[in-house]
Amino acid sequence: MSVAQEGHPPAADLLDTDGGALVGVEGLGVAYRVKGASVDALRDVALRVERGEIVAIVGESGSGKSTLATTIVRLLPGNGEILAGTVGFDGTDLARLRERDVRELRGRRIGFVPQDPMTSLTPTSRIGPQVMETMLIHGTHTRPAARVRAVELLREAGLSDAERVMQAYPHELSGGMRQRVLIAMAFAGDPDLIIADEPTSALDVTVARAVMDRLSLLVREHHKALLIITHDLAMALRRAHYVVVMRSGRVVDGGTSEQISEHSTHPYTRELLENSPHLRLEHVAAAAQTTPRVARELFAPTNPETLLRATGLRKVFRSGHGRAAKELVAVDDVSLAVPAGSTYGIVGESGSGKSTTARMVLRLEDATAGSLTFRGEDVTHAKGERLRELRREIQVVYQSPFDSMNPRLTVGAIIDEPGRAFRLGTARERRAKVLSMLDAVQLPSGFADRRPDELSGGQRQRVAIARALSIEPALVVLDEPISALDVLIQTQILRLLRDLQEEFHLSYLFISHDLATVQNFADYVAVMKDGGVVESGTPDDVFCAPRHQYTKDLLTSAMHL
Amino acid sequence: MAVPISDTVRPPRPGARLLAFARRETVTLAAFAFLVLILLVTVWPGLFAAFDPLRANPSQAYRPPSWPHLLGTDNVGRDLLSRMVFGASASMPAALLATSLSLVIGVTLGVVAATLGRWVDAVITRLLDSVLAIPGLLIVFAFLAVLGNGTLPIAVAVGLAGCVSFGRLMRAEVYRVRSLTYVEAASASGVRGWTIAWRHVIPGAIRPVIALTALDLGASLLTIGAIGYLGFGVAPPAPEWGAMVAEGQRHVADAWWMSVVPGLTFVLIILCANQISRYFERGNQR
Amino acid sequence: MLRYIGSRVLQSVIVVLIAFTLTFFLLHLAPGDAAIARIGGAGDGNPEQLAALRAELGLDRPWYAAYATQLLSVVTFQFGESLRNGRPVIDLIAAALPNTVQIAALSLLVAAVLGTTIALLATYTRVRWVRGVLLALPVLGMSIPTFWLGVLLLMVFSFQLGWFPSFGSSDVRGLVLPVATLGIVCSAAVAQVLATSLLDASRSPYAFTAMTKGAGRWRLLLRHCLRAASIPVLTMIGLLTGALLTGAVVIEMVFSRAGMGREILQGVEASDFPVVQGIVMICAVIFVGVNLLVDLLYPVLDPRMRRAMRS
Repeated sequence: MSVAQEGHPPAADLLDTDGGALVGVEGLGVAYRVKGASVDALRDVALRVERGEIVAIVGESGSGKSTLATTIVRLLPGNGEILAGTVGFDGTDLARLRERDVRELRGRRIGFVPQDPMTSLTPTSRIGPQVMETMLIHGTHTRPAARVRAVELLREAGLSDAERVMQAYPHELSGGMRQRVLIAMAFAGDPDLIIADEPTSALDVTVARAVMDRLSLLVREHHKALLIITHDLAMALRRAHYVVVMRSGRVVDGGTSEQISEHSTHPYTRELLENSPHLRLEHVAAAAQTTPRVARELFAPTNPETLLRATGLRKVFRSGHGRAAKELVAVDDVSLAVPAGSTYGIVGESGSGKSTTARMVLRLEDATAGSLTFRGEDVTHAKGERLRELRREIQVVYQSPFDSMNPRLTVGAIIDEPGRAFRLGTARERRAKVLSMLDAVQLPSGFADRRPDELSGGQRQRVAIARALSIEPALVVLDEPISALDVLIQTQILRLLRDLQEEFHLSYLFISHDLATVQNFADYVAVMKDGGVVESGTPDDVFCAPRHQYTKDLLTSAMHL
Repeated sequence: MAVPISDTVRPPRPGARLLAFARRETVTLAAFAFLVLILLVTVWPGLFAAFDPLRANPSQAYRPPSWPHLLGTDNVGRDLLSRMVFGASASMPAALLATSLSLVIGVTLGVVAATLGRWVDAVITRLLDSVLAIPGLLIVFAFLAVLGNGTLPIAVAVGLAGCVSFGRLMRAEVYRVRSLTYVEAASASGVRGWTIAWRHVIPGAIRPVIALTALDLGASLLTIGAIGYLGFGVAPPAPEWGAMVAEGQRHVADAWWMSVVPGLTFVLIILCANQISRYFERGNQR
Repeated sequence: MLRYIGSRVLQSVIVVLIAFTLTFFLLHLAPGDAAIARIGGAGDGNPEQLAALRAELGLDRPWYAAYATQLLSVVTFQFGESLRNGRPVIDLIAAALPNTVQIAALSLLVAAVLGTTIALLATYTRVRWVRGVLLALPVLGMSIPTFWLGVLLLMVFSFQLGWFPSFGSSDVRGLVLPVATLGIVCSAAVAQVLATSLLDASRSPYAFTAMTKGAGRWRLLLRHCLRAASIPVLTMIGLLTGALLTGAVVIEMVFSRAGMGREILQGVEASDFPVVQGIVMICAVIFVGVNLLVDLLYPVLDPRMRRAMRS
């Protein structure tokens, strides 16, 4: 197969084909109409997928990878249009077909696994009819036959209790189960090509691995072609025969997995490889030693000052009243100690209680039991003025750069807000402080007068960091601060955080679901599951020599995703 | 674990935003201008009326819209345009009073319910539900039965009936905005409660309230018009739009414009109010 | 599930009670004297007659006793007697109610059908100007006074074309114009709410999924979007009950039909409190009843609510 690379000759064919390629995209150009202007999403994109081949399209946000997927099935939103090029599918140019004819191909010849399992199933319909739908639309099965086939499909997708799932509604199933339903649905029409759009981004790593294993198995067993859209280069290299790298609407690199990982000379690809967290984790495990970290002054193990200590923290959520009351134990007996000047990482999947623990430390939630001391003082039930004083010392950076800032305020006002709240200095002094904070997070001072929606995700997160640091706290709680950012930006922010830690003598409580990031960034790690800490220690202890089975499972899943 | 956000920068917009705004929102601006006109007519009827609205002139009766009676005359020869102009002061102030009352009472109840929560919230919600259960027109009837005829009881009754929607809206908005991340972030930054309310909560909740105010103005006017049609409100021969429709119904065969003109005015005013409401509704994404 | 039904019924009863209390206190504030109103404002009935009348009407007792007594009688559907002519209010209402309810119910049907059709067509069509026109109709409909539309329809269809009678008849032809008027006005609200939620649903991720399976637009709308989109419409219909009742009252006057409209207007003019209170209470009960029904229908439409109730 070949892909048009910038100035490079096409790579050697891997598989022998006796006909044309299944998918042959040439010179594709797609644009969106936004507020009267035309914004390019794809420029001169070429792609080939042979029958039975697994191709992954890797790119960051804005690369156009999702647009490419939706263009192939001709489901661009109303304001999108194909400007040029061909989308060949088994000899037909999909770009030029009538809607009516494309509809016959959807589901029947091309299956699509949509992005977010939580919102991609019709909430008012049971699972059974939804899986059967493709077969009924295209008339490939009678209703009773379709029902039988649907049960088969669900079982093949990994749902052992298929009969019960058929009768269930989407909201009764977990995220992983819903993703399997979507996979079953994609196979229902027995298509030649399956397109999977970000099949793992919404799932926990252990579930994601199981889902991808199952998908790969099905694709191989039934000799389907698979097109995976993902931002995870590591996953792409592991799962696909062929990887295509996209950036800003163009294809910039392409080749077999081996070619990309070993021999690629394209600078962007190299950057992605170097910064991909899961790949670093692989190297860690392979080398059984720490990856090169920026040499830092690590304090002596017997550092006297424990800045924050939590003992036996417990949080129970109650809903409803009386006999119908339900209890949810979010955090159960969590203890940790953050030494001054260090980074304490908490890693866990969704539902592990890591965020709730962070919120208790921030006193945004009251602990049901247990105690919290800060600089030796008991602050478990701090209220009123005492709490406000505490806020001067403990600040927070949220996960979402969008939601954590008031869109109506200017960047300067946002950074200034904590200082204003505590009445630190005169207005002029605070203005100077704002500018110096912008400088510290490496943003131009002109940003002070901009609004958040004029900034990118990474820039907003810098503003959030500037806001947290503006009153010079001792401890900063970082709740998944980089999870919503592109991989390359993640590295930048982490580097920034590390520099700031040295400059301002900060301590961090770093919450993340990403093992590789925590491994690289934290001085101490605690692994949480179902509200409790299953293992803790230095990153070397936890990641290179894990004791608890769960930690081992997490690591293997992350490395084999 | 979400898909990453793009890191492309968008430069700030240059000046001349006003011109772009005007071009985008011509309809809304036109609606606003029309309402301002109606307000002027209400306050200075003499400026717009060429004839005496009460002066009967039987020789000129049943004239269709023509010069000099631009909207025609009624069954006793009174100029319809002048009657329409003076009729504004019968309906519009009442509608404005009613909506203001609904706004003040409703917003207060809603804020109190959402802020104090628990049983206060439960009581206020039941109270609002009960007022809602009694159709607005019937509340007006009850008031009229008790207090006798008059514009003030009508306005007060319509105002009380209308406070339910404001109450519910405000309550919902306060709950919604309070749970926004940036409000919690402000609290975590050490900002005090009152400052949070002033800087974050209220600006977030204000747009839908404005949208509802415009909508409610239209609804109040409709109810007052219906009351006028049914024979309550100002006493004849003083002009009142709803009553004029009723009068016109009796002479439909001879002078269709007698009913159509007041009705069209209602439609136009309410269309404009609704347009303004939609504008504030649309900009309400945060 | 039973808990949910039980709690909703209980809440509805409380709401009706509060509504009764509100009207009771309002009417009790009357500056005028019901006894005088009964006599007809003659003003010179002798004091003993007046006192006797007051005792008979129960106006000489303290308010809490009056409240309790009235509450008891209201619960048993005895609304007292009309001050004007002494007839039991319940008889008045029983005679007038069917006419009004007939118009309200038929108008609701028309509104639901018309509104749904407009919303479905507006969402289905991909032709922009057609969608624009269809969506502009509800906007217009919400701005038209009911009574004026009635007069307009009378003008055109009754006087000009002579197709329908112009006032109060008891056959089907006499129902057409009143029901059309109220139905059109109420359909605007239905259409607007449904169009908005259908549009949202058609842009949702699950609509996208359905399209990847090869679903066409009708299938998408009817099988996937309509059920979810109907929930806000159900809420709207519950709220519309009030507008339908008052609309029916106004329409009765436009078309000179017998019904509660005539009764309540006469009651208001004569300050006939029992009649006014009776009609207000009946309307409140109908409103609360319809909304209770709506609440019970939610779980039928939305399976997500069924789980919430089970726990």
